Amino acid sequence: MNTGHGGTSTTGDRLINVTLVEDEALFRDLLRGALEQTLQVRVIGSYSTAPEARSAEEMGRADVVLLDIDLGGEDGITLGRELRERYPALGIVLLSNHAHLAFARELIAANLTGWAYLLKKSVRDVQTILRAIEGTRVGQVVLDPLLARGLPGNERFPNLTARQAELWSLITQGYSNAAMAAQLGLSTKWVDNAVGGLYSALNLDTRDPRTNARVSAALLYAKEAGRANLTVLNGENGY
Amino acid sequence: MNVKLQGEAPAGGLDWSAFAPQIVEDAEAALGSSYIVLARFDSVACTSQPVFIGGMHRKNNQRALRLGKRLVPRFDMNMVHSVDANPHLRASFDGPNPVIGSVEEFTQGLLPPLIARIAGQIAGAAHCITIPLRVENRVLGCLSFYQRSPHFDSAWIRIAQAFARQVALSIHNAELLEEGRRVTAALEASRRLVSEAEERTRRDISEFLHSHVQSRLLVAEYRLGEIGDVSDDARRRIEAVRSELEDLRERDVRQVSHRLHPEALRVGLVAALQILASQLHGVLDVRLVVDDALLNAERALPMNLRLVAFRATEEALGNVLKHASARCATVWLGIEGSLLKLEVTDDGCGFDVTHMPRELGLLCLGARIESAGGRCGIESRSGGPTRVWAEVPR
Repeated sequence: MNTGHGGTSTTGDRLINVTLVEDEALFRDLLRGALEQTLQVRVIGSYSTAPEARSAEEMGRADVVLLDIDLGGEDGITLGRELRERYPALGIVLLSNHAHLAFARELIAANLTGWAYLLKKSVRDVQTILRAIEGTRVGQVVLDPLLARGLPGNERFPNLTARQAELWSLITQGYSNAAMAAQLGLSTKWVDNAVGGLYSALNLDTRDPRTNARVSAALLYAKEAGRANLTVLNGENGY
Repeated sequence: MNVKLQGEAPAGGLDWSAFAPQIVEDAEAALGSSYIVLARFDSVACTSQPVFIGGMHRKNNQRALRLGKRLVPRFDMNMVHSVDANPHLRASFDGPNPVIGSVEEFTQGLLPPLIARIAGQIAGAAHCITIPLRVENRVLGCLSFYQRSPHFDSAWIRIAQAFARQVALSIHNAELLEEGRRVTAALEASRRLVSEAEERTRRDISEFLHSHVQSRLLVAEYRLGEIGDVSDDARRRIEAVRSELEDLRERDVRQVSHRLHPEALRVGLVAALQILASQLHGVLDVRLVVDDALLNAERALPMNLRLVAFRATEEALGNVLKHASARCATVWLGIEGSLLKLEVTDDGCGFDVTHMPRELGLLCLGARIESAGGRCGIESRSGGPTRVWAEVPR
């Protein structure tokens, strides 16, 4: 078991404690190695089955759990919700081979926050995983870049500008305003203003603290993307 | 000659009680006897059992029965008895000819002689003729007629035999129908077992491909990417292998896996259909229309029902792609009472249903839905639209 890199951290912040639940040993090791190399995360436990994960005492000290949604017959999403009930502050990063948000429908429909849905192939870009870990730790909803590209499918918000669509997509991928500014080569101040504009274009309530509007924007994106190709009659489910 | 179908007499499954009273009543009317017994033989156990006894409402017969029961408490007219109790019973059992004898002779070794005397003197059943119910060399049972006189008219016997042949044919007919139903049900059950086993295997392989194979390929790709410190040429070659692997994983493995079993069915029917629709993106514009009732009930739908509905939709959409030259298709799913209903319509060219090609896919779809206890149909005309519908009990 890894004892962490506490003394060698260069960020000055406390390391983020994560646990891994993944039944494929090679992939689990790869993930663990990639995360530890960032020196921003400490892997305090890794498990290959749902029962192991349920009984692990490290789970109580974890900030975020990275969770395979296919655990050899067991459903990772159900396990994630179970762990969340027990540890309400635990961030949940789901890892999946399914490039479709239909799998996260249950989380979306329950308006759950503090979760991410990533494709396993995104381990190639460890920054994507770090963004999801950091985002879910503070209660955000984060989607894989491949699932949050462009507008989320249907034409419910035809009046968004191309820039607003881009910001919405980046927010959903877990970018902070500063990170978006860096990514787009714009000033943070400009991005702050533009994000405010995006929220009102999406009819989001911005009287709430800013983080909530951010979460709502990402959740709205997930909702829209999750109902691609789908029309629900007498929609009472928020669909 | 008498051939017994040992062990597999289909008569075992048929219940005679439904038609026995009618047979005896008709025999009474046609042959004019006041005391008639319809008995059924068991060719394996070599036993006989009265199924229906006619004329028991008559006063004489009632009196004889009461007296018999008082004198011989264990006396039971309906008891199953061995046909080897006496030669007369054995001869009736073996067929093919009528057997004539006194009641004493027929009940010897079976009932106390006192019972035979009561039958003869009070009920007027002193003598008996048994007419075998014979069909295809099997004796199914017999009709026994009782009377005071030992003499049975030969013309009457011929009529009785003709009557018995018709009865035997009718019973045989009922047996065949019953057997048909039994075989159909057994076939259906084994077909369902086979198809369930096949689906389970498909699901297992699909899961293996999806989680195990995909993850390992990912790891291999990642490790290749980690190799540094090599010449530009080696780097290019490594990159080429890496993208080959990626292509294999993204296209081949994913496609095969999904074709074997739609994994998203575990999450729900709608989720799996959404993914199916997204896979057809660019080829066919598929719109799913569902209502709240369905979304709420979806998680409670049993897996095999989800699978039936998914495969039906998949088959219908496949048909649209192959034949309809359609741009878009609409899949409607709903719950009405105890039924899950689905409908696939397209904006394609349609066809004349009377000249419908007997597509294997559609035939399989029909069989699948019927085996789930449902119904389906297809409606179209030249110029379109085409509508495929199905309904399956939940």
